[in-house]
Amino acid sequence: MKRRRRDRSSTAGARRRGPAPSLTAVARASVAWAAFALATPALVGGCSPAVAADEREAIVLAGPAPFEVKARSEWPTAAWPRARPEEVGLDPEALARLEDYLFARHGDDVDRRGQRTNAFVLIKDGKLVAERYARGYTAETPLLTWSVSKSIGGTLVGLAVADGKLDVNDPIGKHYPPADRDGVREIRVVDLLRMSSGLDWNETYETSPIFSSVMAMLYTAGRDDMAAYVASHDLAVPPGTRWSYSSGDSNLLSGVVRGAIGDEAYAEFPWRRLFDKIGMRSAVLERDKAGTYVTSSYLYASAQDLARWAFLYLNDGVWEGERLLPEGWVAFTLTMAPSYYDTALTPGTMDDNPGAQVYLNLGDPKRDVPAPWPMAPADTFAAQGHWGKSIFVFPGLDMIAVRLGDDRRYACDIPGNEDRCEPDRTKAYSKPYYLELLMAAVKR
Amino acid sequence: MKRALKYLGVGLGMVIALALAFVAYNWSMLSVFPDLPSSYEAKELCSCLFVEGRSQADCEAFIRQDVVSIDGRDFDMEGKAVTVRALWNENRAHYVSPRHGCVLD
Repeated sequence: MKRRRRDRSSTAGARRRGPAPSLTAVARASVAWAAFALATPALVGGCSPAVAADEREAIVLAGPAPFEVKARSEWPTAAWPRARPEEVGLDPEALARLEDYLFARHGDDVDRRGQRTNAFVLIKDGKLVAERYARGYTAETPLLTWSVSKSIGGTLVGLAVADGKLDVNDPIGKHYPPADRDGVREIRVVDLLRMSSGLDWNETYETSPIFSSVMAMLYTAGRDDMAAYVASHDLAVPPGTRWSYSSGDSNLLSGVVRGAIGDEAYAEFPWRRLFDKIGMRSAVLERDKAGTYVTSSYLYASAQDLARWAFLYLNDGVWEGERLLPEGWVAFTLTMAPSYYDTALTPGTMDDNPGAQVYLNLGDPKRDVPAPWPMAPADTFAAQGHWGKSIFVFPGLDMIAVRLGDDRRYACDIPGNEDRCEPDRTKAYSKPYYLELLMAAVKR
Repeated sequence: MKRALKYLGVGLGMVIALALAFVAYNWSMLSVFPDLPSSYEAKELCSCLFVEGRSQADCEAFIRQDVVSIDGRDFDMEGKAVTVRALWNENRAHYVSPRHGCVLD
C-alpha cells in the first residue's frame, strides 16, 4: 500500500517505453527535465526540518465554554421537549418563509437542480420548534452526513481524553504503530484535530476523482485500512504549520483513538460513551474492513439526533448533570487552529475557519478576511458536510439548526463554487441566504 | 522542409515524453482509478438501501454519475448486499449490522 507517486524507478520506466529511436535523445532530455520539475516540490517538502512534537507549545485543556451555559431543567435524551416558535421568541411568519425556501423544489431527481432538503430541525431554548422532512425521509431515518461525521469523530477523541486514554499533545505514533515512523510520528493528536498534520494529501471529490486522495482512501487503494493508508503518506510540511482540509486527518485520528482505547472496548466505545448517553438512537457508524470507524464520512443519524450532539456542546460537554467531555474540551474545540493564520487562503477555503473538527465564524481581521457568516453571531459554530449538510449552533441564542440536503447544484454565493452554480439564490441552497432567513426569525 | 520536420519531431517527442512522465509520476493514482466507480456505487448503494432504508429507484438516482458507464448492478435484497461492475472491475458491499451499516468486501 506504499505510495509510489514519487518513485524514481517509475520515471525510468517511462524512458524505456520511450518514443521512436531518432527522438531518443530529445525524449531523454524531456524526461530528465520533467523528472526534475516534478521532483522539486518533493525535495522542498521532504527536506523541511520537522519540529519535534515536544518542542511545541502544549495544549492545556481548561476553562469553561466561551459562551454562557444555560441551566437546564429538561433534557432531550428520550425525546425533544417541544414549543411553538412564539413561545421561545421566534417569529412564526419568518420561520415559515425559511421553511418555504428550504423545501421549495425547482428541479427533479433527473436534473438534480435546485434546493434538495431532506430534513430540517430547529431547536431553541432546548425545545424543538420546527422540523420538516421531504423526499421520503422521516424523523427516524438515519441520514448520510458525509463530513458532519468529522465533528462527531472529534467528540470521540474528547471522550477518549476524558477516559484518560489519550492526551491531545501525544505524538500519534504513541498510540498508532503504523504512524510510528520518521516525520509522521511527530504529528500530534491536536494536529489531526486541527487538520494540520502536514501530510501530503489531495482533498478533492467527484470533480477530480482520479487524483483525489479521499476517493482512493474511501473506495480504492486505502479502503481496507484507511488510517494506515493515510499514515503511509509523507509529510509535505512540518506538522502543525499549515491548515489543510483533510478527510485523511480525520480517519487517521480514528485509528489513533482505536489504538488508545484498545480493540476490545473500541467497537462499543461510540455507543457506550456518546450515542447511548445522549439518546442518539438512530446513529449508524460504518467501519472500514480493518474495523476502524470512518469518522471522515460515514456517520448516519437523524436530524433530531444530530441536534442532540450539538446540545452536548451547548452544555459544555455536560449531559443531565454528568460531565462527558473533559473540562475545557468545548473551549478547545472552538479555538481557531493557529496554523490557519499562517496558511494562504483561496476563494474555496476563505469560508472555512477551522476549530477542532468544527467550523467557526471569526475570520482573520489581521488579513482582512471577513467572518464567513456575517449575518450570524460571532460565536456561531458548525459541523458541515458535502452536498448541503450542516449543524449550525448559535450559543448566545441557545439555538441549533440542522439541515440535511442532497444538493448537487448550489447557489453561486457559496465560495469556490463558481462553476455550474444557480444564479438565483432563492432557487438553490445558499448558505448565506439560509442563515439570513434563519436570523430573520430571531427577534432581537 | 527537413528543418520543419525536425522541429515537428522534437515537439512531438517532448509531448509524448511529458505525457509518459505524467502517467509514470501519477501511476499510483491512475492505476487504481478503474476500481473506483464500481466500489463507490456498491458501498453507497448498500448504505442507501439498508441504512437509510430507501427504495432501489431512489438509491440509483442518488448514486448516478454521468461520467463512467456501469456494466451491471446486482441487488441481493435478502442477503443485504450490492455488487456493481464497471471498467472491468467488480465490487461488492454488504450490510453488517444496525450499528455498523455497510462495508466493502
